Formats: sequence, C-alpha cells, structure tokens
Amino acid sequence: MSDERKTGALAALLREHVSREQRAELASVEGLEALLRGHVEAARAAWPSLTLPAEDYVRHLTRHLPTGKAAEVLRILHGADLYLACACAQGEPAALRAFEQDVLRYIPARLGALSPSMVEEVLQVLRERLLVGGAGAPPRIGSYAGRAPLLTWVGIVAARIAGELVERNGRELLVTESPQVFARMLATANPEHEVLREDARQMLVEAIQKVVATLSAQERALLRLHYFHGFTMDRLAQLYGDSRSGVARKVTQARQLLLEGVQAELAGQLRHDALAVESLLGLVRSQLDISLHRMLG
Amino acid sequence: MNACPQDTTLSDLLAGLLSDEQRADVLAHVEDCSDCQWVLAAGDGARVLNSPSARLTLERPPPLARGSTVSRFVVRECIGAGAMGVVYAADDPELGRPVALKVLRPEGRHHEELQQRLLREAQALARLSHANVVTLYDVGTFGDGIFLAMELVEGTTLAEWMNPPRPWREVLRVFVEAGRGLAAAHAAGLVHRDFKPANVLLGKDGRVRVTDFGIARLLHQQEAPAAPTNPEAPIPATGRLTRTGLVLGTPAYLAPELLRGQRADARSDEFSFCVALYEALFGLRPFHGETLRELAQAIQQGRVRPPGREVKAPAWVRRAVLRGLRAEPDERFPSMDALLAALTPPRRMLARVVATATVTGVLGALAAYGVTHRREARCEQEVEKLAAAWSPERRERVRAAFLATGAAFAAPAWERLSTALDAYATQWRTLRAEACVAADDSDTAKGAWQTSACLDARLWQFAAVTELLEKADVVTVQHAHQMATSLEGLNGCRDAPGLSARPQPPDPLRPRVEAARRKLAQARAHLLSHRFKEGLAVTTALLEDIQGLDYKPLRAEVLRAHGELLGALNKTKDAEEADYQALWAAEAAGDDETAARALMELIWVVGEEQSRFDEAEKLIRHAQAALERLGRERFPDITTDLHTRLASLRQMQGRLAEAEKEALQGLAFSRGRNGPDSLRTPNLLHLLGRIRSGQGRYEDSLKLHREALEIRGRLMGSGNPALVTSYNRVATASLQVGRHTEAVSAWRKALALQESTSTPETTQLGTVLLNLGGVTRIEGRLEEARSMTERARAIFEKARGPNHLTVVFALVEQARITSDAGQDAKALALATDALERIQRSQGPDTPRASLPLTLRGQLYLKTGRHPEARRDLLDALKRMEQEHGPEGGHSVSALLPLAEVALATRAPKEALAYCERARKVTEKVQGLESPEAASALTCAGKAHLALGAADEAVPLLERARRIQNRWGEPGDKEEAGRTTFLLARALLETRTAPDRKRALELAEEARARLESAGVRGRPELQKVLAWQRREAKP
Repeated sequence: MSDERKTGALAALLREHVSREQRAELASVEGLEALLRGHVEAARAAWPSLTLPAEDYVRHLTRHLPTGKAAEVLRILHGADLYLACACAQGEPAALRAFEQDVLRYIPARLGALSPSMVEEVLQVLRERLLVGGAGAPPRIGSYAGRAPLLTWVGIVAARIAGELVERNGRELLVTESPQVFARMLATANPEHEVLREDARQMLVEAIQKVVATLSAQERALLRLHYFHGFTMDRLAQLYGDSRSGVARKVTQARQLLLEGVQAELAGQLRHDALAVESLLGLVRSQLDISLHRMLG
Repeated sequence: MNACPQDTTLSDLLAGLLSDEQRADVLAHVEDCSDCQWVLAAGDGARVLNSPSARLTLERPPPLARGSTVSRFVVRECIGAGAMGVVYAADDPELGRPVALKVLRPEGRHHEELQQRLLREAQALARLSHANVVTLYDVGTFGDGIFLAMELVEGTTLAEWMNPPRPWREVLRVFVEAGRGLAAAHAAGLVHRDFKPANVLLGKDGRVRVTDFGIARLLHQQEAPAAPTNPEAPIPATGRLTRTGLVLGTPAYLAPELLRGQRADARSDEFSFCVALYEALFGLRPFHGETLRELAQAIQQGRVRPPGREVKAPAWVRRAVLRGLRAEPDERFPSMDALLAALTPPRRMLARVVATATVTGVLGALAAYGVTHRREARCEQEVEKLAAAWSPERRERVRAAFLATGAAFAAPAWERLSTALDAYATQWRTLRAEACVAADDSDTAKGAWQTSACLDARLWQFAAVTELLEKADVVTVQHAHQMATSLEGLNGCRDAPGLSARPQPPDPLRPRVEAARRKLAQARAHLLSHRFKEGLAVTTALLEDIQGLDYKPLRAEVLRAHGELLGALNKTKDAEEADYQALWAAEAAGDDETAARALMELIWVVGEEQSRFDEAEKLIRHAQAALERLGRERFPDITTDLHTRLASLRQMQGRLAEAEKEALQGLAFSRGRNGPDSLRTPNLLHLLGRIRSGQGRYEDSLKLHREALEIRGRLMGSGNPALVTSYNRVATASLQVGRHTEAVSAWRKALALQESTSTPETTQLGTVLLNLGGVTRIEGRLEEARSMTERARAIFEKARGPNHLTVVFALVEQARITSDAGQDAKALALATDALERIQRSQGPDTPRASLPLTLRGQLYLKTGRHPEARRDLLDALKRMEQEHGPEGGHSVSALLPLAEVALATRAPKEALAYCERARKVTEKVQGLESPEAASALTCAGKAHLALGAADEAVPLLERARRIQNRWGEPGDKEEAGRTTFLLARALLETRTAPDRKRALELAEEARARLESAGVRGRPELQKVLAWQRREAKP
C-alpha cells in the first residue's frame, strides 16, 4: 500500500482527473485535501484488510462527482462504502470477502418474506450482476456513487432483481393487494378475530376494502410505508422532504380516516344487533393499529 | 404509469438528495407503485434493524407539548425522562383527576410485537390493585408507542430517600411495604424484573409504592439483546446513556441468573430487593465488581462487602437479607412472603391469639389484645353476617336433610361436608374481623375495604350453597363435595382483593347488580348439585329481570350460567346461542374472565357436541389468547379446564398424541396448582386413561382409572353413587388386559352403588348392566346374563328410542346369549333386527352396522351357511376399514371369523392369510400381550394345523395359551379351552418329537375349562371328549 503523505497530493490527483468546470468548482471547496484524507482514513479504518491504493480510490471518486454538485457530494459522501465498492470493482479478493460479509449478509433480512430458495437465487444473480463484468463492461458495482449507504443501494438492486425473478418465474408474489390479504390480516396472530362469525368477518373485510379504496394514493402509500414496510416517521420525513411532525400528522390523519370509515361502515350494517356491533367495534378499535400493516400489505 | 425509477434515483431519494422537483416526480410514481414501495423498504432496511446503517438513524421523538392529548389524557408538563420513555403530568378530563402519563416508544424490527407484549404486560398490571403498587389506570397505543396512565404520586423515590442514611426500623418499614407490593404482583403472576430504589416511590402520604413492573426490562431485552452481555464491559456507577438515548439500568441490582440471560422469576425480584435493602441498611451495595464478570463472580462466590457504617440492625434482619442474596435461587427464600415474614418481628402474641381462638372467641381475643370496645361492637355486627350462610340452626337443618335422604353414604358425606364448611366459616370470620379492625387504621383502610367487599361477595355464594343444602336430596348429597369445593378461596380476598373480586358496578347500579348476583349464586349452586332444571328456571328469570339493567359484566355472567345449564340438559343449540351471547357481552365489557369461561363451554358445545371442528379450532385459539391475558397461574381452574377440554376433543377426533400431551400437561398443572382436594385431577386421570386405552396401552389405562377411582372415592365418599362412572371405567380397562375377575367385581360394585339410589333407572345403569351381562355370559351364566341385558335394553329404549346405538349393542349381546344357549334361529333373528335398527337410525351404509353384521356372520358360520357368513363378514370388514383404515383395531373381530369360514370351506391357506393379518393388527394396536393377540395366535395355529404344519402351530399356540393364563384362571374359559385343545392336537401331530404325555394332559385341561364354561363350551367339549376317547387308547 502506498501511503506517502505528500502535502495536497490527493487534492492534486483529484483535480488532475476532473473536467475543467469541476476543477473550478473544487477550487471553492475549503480543506479539500483534509476532506479527502478523511474519507481515505475512514475507509482504511472500516476495511483494514483492503490494499486498494489511495490514488486508485481518488481516481474512482472523480467518476462519481456530478457536475455542479461535486462539492455537495464530497461532503455527504459515504467514503468508506465507496472505497469498498471500488476495491470490489477491481476484483480484490479481500474486498469481495468484505462485501459478502458486511453487505450481502444483510440483504436477505431486507427482502422480507421470500422463500429461502428465492433469496438464494436473488443473491446469486446479485453477485453476478454487481461483481462480474461482462463483454468488456466493468462490474456494475463500479457504478455505485457513494451518495447513499452501499447497503441501501445494493438493497434496491436486490429488490429489483427479486421483482424480475418473480415476474419471470411467476412463483411468488412480493406484494399482494388482493382481498386475501385483508382476510389474512383478520386470520393470523389475532385470535379475537378468529372467533368472529364468518359473516361478520366478511363484513369487516369488505368494509376495510371499501374504505381503503376511498383514500388518496398518498394516504395509502403513507400507511403502507409506515405500517407495512416499517418506515419510521423520521425516514418518511426524509423521503418526503417534510418535517417529522408534518409527516406524522398526515399518517395519523390517514389512519383516523380509515378507522372512522370502517366504524361507520360497520355501524351501518350491524344496526340490528347492538351487542355484536359493540363487540366487533371494540375489536376493531383495539386492533386496528396493530393490524394496519397486514391490512395494507 | 411511467417506468420505475433507476436504482440510483431511488437511492438518492432515500438519502434525501433529490431536488424538490425530482422528488415530487419520483414520489408521484412511488405512491402508485407498490413494487417501488417494496424496493424502497429493502433499500431503507426499514424491515430490519440489525443492519449497520440502520442503527444510526434511531433518535428520540420530541417531547409532547402542553395541551396535546394522548388518548383522553391532556398533557400538562414533562416531569421526567426515565429509563423507559418520557413521563408527563397530565389530566384525565373524564374523571377529573391528575395522572402520570408514561409514553414508551419501542423501536426496532419487532416493534409491533414488542408493543403487543408491552400492552399485555401493562394490561396484566392494570388488574393489580394493591396499596403498595402504583395503580395503573389505563394503557393503550399511541402512534408507534404505548402509553400508561397511572396514579400521580407526589413524593420522592426510594433512591433519593435512602440518602442520607435512615434508622434501620424506618428502612425496614419502607422495604416491607414495598415487598408487599412485590408479593401481590407475584401472586398475580407478574414479575418486576427491574426492582431498584429508583422504581419505588414514597408518597407524601407516607405510603410506599412500587412502580415500573416488567416494562423496563422488556424494553431493554429488545433493544440490547446481548443477553450474555460483554462480560468485560465496565459498570457505570448510576447508569449510562445507551445509543438510543435511554438510560440502561445499572446491573448492580440484577440477580445473577438474569446476568446469565436466564428467565426472571419471583426469586430474582427477591434478590434485587435484598440488594437494595442491604444498601439502604448498610450504606453500600453488597457486591462489587469493576466489570460485569467481576460482579457476577462476587455474587457467585458470595463475597458480600462488610457494612460501610456502624449499623444496629438486629442479626435476624441481616440473616434474612443475606439469604435473599444467595447466588442460587433455590437457596433464597421460596417467596417474597417468606422473606417478609423473616423481616417482620414475630408478633407472637397476636399469632397465638388468632390460632387458638374458637369461632366465637376471635373477637373477644382481639379485644383482649387492645381493641376498643366500640370497634369491637361494630365489627362483631359485621362478622355476624355469617349467620346468613352458616348459623347453627342452618347447620342443623342441613344435617337433618342429609340424614333424611336415607342414603347409606349420607352420614359420611355430612361428616366431610360439615368439616369443610365449618373451616370455611371460621376462616371467613377471622379474615372479616381482621379487615374490620384494619379499616380503622388509615394506612390500611383502602385495602381493608376491598377485602371486606370481596369477603362479602364470597358470603353470598356460601349462603346460596347452604340454602340449597338445606333442601338436600340424594342427588345433592352425591355432589356435596363439588359444592363445598366450589366455594372460592378466601385468602385471595386478603392478599389481592382487587384481583379476586368480579368487576364492580358504579354505585347507582350496585343494589340491583348485587341482588342479581345473589340469585346467580343460587343458579350456580343448582348447577353444582346437578339440579339443572331448577338452575335453568333461575337463570331464565334472571335474564328477564336484568333487561334494561345496563351492566354488561353481569349480563355476561348470567348468560354463561344459562348456557352451562342448557348444555347440561343436552339442549345443545340453545346452549351454543347463550354461550356466544355470553362471550360477546363479556368482550364488550372487557371481562376476560367470563369470556374465557364462556369459551370453555363453546369449545365443548361446538366441537365435541356438534363436531364443527374448524370453528372449534378458532375458539381454542381464542381461549388460549384469553387465558394468556388472564394469567394461567391466576386462574388455575380455567387453565386446567382448557387442558381437559382440549384433550377430550382431541381424543374424540382420534388425535391421540395431541390428546395425550394436553392431558399430561393438564394433569401436571392440576396436581401442582389445584390442590389435593380438586376433582379436576381425577377427571383428567380418567380422561388420560381413555386416551391410553385408545392407544392400546391398556395396562397404563387401568392404572390411571384405578388412581382416579381412588381419589374420587376419598373425596366423595366410598359409598357415593357418583363413583359408578369410575368403577365402570376400571372394569372396562380390567377386561381389556384380560383381568376378568377384577372387571366383574368392579361392575358389581357399580351396580350396587347405582341400585342403592332411589333414582329411576339411568342410562348409566344400562351401560353397567350391559357390560356386566357380557362378562356374565362369558362366565357361562346365561340366564343371569339374559336378564341383565334385557333390563339394559329396556332402559336404553325408554331413554333413547328403539333405534339408538346403545339399544343395538344390547340386542347384539342378547343375540350372543341366545346363540350360546343353542337357539341359533332366534339368535339370527335378533342380529338381523339389530342390523335393521342401526340402518334405520344411521343410514344403510353406516360403519356402525359392522357390529351386528360381524355377529350375524358368526351365527351363519355356526349354522354352516358359509356363503352368507362370508358375505356378512366381508361387508363388516369393509365398513370397518372405511371408518378406521385397513389396520384399525376393530377389524380383528371380522378377520378371525373369516378365517374360520375359510377353514370350514377347506381353504386353510386363505384362513392363514386372515389370521396373519389379524395378528399384525393386534400386535400393532392392542399389544403383544392382549387377549386379541392370543385369539389371533390361536387362529394362526389352527390354520397351520389344518395345513399339516403342526411344528409351526405349536409355538404360536403355546404363546396364545401363555397370554390367556397370564392372570391365573383365564377369563374366557371357552376360548382358553379351545386354544389348549388345539395345542394338544398339535403336540401329537408334530413330526419331530410328539409329546404324547403333555398332549393328553392338555386335552384334560381343555376338557375341564370347557366344562366350566357351561352351555357355551358344549360344542367344543364334544370334540375334546371324542378325541380323548380316540387317543386315550394306546
């Protein structure tokens, strides 16, 4: 590993490899050398076993600095992750091991409830697509730009691959929107619902379906992302570029709308049996929050 | 819809790097594309928390602003951020009282599951009402989290109070109070898991309350599952911020078993309690270590640090604390109660006074102890309410009523009953007097009031039972034990009155609800004494009475009793309706206990009575969930009943392995928790016995039925007619293992018990008569057997109509007797009659027809009509196989006569095939040593003999004979005689070494057996005699 500490060496290297416009842009970045040094050190600390020279890394970095945004990207860069991706693109064995160990290992959990064989297939395609170059093209991991965590990016690629495989094989459904999902929400892990008479259950399913259909696309998406996919309010806020309280209010409103709608539907239909309404509504009230994710799945 | 965005675009979206315009575009797509939502979730890792990038994003939400609402509570101000979340002072506008509002936000992958667990825990806690536990008013969900609304205690924590040091007496008083709170929670099945001075509040009113049960530890477990925590991690002095910003409690108070990641129980709390107490008494914590490992070692080796200051605490206090600090849970006190007793100065005087006081003397003794006269007078009045249930006059009337029944078992039943009720009355007086006295002490007033209310409610039950006992008839006397044990325990009223009492109505409704509950107690007493019609009349009237009384727990209680009575009267449909109504009312009222009890009835009425198994499965899961919420340990009777119902249902479904598992679990639980006087245990023993019998494990089955009989006899009195069922089961099981004599004597006992009652002929008697008729026939006493069987048939026909299965059983048995008596034509007619009746009631293709068909086939065989015999037997076999599969145990009864038909038609090879098939089945189903196995062996031996292979026949017949003679004199002498004769013939025909001497001996033995079998043995006897005449000549 070459670790010479020439003053300004990395900054100079960077300047050498970027376009003229970017060179001007970089000139305005204060402490560029320290920034780059920081990224390299973070990378070395994160992956001490990798031998990728700092120069190669900086050269790789230049390819991922978008014009006009170079300075911004340098500040938010996930430098260590980019370093690993670069080393993988060069086929460094230690890097491939690290990728397996620190990235791929976490992918199955992110794919949710797929069958083990399916997960295995996704991982295999993922390795081929990201790590193996083909027909003169470099391995695709080289296109990772370091703007989000590597795991996030790989997770997205993996999910897309899963989607393709599902479409191709027609074996599994990633996301079901059918009434069976609603029925399942009433059927599993929630013994109170088990005992509902078949007619009452059907009624509840229909009520929920009806009300969900009246929600706006955004309301549905918010509920689904939060309750089904597990996005926290903070992540939703980031996604929507909104404040946390703003997003939280929207989610709460959507939930409230759904709850009220379902209650109104049920109360209308069960008018004749006050006790049953009370019992059913009591269940809906207490279980709705908990069941939302299944209902929206 | 547009094409889905690029991977990098989505990744930028997640990273928040898109411009507003780009973001709007992408989101517009994403909101309509569930695939992209799914892909985003995979990128974000929202579904997981154990990935490296996701960990960094956890952060605490901002606190709630003044005036915001959580459920119905209005936030006033933030009063602290504790280990478990944020605490606010808030108001409950509905009840106009201040509350402390804790908002917890479980985070992470399983946050929903965690939320559920927290809720469950909190709901359990909300049922706990004790002076030394912070009252939890309400729990619920709030956004991602849950909230707990609890009593707002003004004062300090024990941690603050302990500094500066306090006198040991003060310390002890405060800790004993806190310990009582822990003990009450333990009694309710709750473990604190994180007891420490910071979790004990000292109110300005001087009362000590324990708070934060279970919850804190639950949160930490989830967030830091590093159960075997890094042993080298340094121990923070007071606690330290974790990455999520929560303060992780210092492990200094944790029991060593928790440090090892094991489960917490009451004794873990005891350990924590003693660490805190040691610290409060002696100024420092008992164990020291720089790291977790060192701490654990210090505890393990019992290295307790000497007191940090001079303390005058007495030696008995110190001894008790040190015992609570033992590393091994088993070496500590078995319970908080035991520890508290050791920490309380022995109040020898009071203890002696109460222990020696007679029923009437308690109050006098208390007065002598220093209670004022005025209080004594008032409390005496309270205690005299007992007269409503158990005055000397009523006691005498009950005695007279019992003896007036004239039943032989009435006197011993009265002895047992009066002993139990006297003890109950004494205990009631003592507790009621204590509560009355305690009510004047401001410290204990609230608990004492609850205790009194609870005791008064128990008194109505008591009164309802004794009222019925005054009018006792034979049936009541039979069920006296059940009535006595139905009285709910009184200690619960003292220890945890809030948990022991039923939900209480608001004051304006109280008089009407109480009146209805008294009537309901009468209905229950009727139910227990098997006066179902009278009970039903009470509940029917009650349902009218409470129309318009808007108090659902009561409605649920009445409906449930109504349903149970209907079920007992075999009104299945009506029972189901009432049970469901009860369930709904209970659910609407949030009354888990009644809901669980209604579900027990429903599982039976829907599953066992109506075979709607899918619905029953759902009910079972519902019941399991309800019981989990209630707490298995808190309601041992419901827990046992659920096991029983399940085992019984599974047995009925033929799912024997599951049935066995349930029954075993139920039995272990019942033995441990229901006490030696519970009839639930022998009931489960009988059930398990039936399951074992179904599994072909007859020896075990007999053992279990005997044990059940023994216990029931002890509890109910040996002359009690209720034991008929037990005797019947012991007899059946005895017969299954070939113990004829024992079976006969058990059935005779059952018959005698049943006939000692004045009740009309019951179907139970019919069953006993039929069974006894069967063995009597085999013993060769045909006339006696005939009269029993005819009586049984008359009983069944009267009770169940002419075509009922039990009538068919009786007819078949009559046909056998008639055939044994040599009246073959008449026997054939009876068998055909039986066949036609069962086909009339159950359809022409019913598998039940296999029994009369088998018999008719045997009769045809006997009269030489071989084609008809073969037809009937094959038909029977087909029906059996349809019902039980090719290897069902019943098929033997058709296979063996089929072999005989084959032999009679000179097809010995075919016969041997049938015999071998029967052998395979018997060895698998009935067992190697069963009477059926012996029959199958005999069959095979006979076939070999017919094939001229005497050498092969000998070992088979030897085995068969050994099985038959296993219990001494064989039960079925005719069959034993035939086997023995076959063996004799085989021995003589064997080519290698004919054993002539033994053959002749055996033939003689066979002759004796057949002669003692009476008419039945006569046909075979003729053959033996002819053989003997032939062979006896040298």
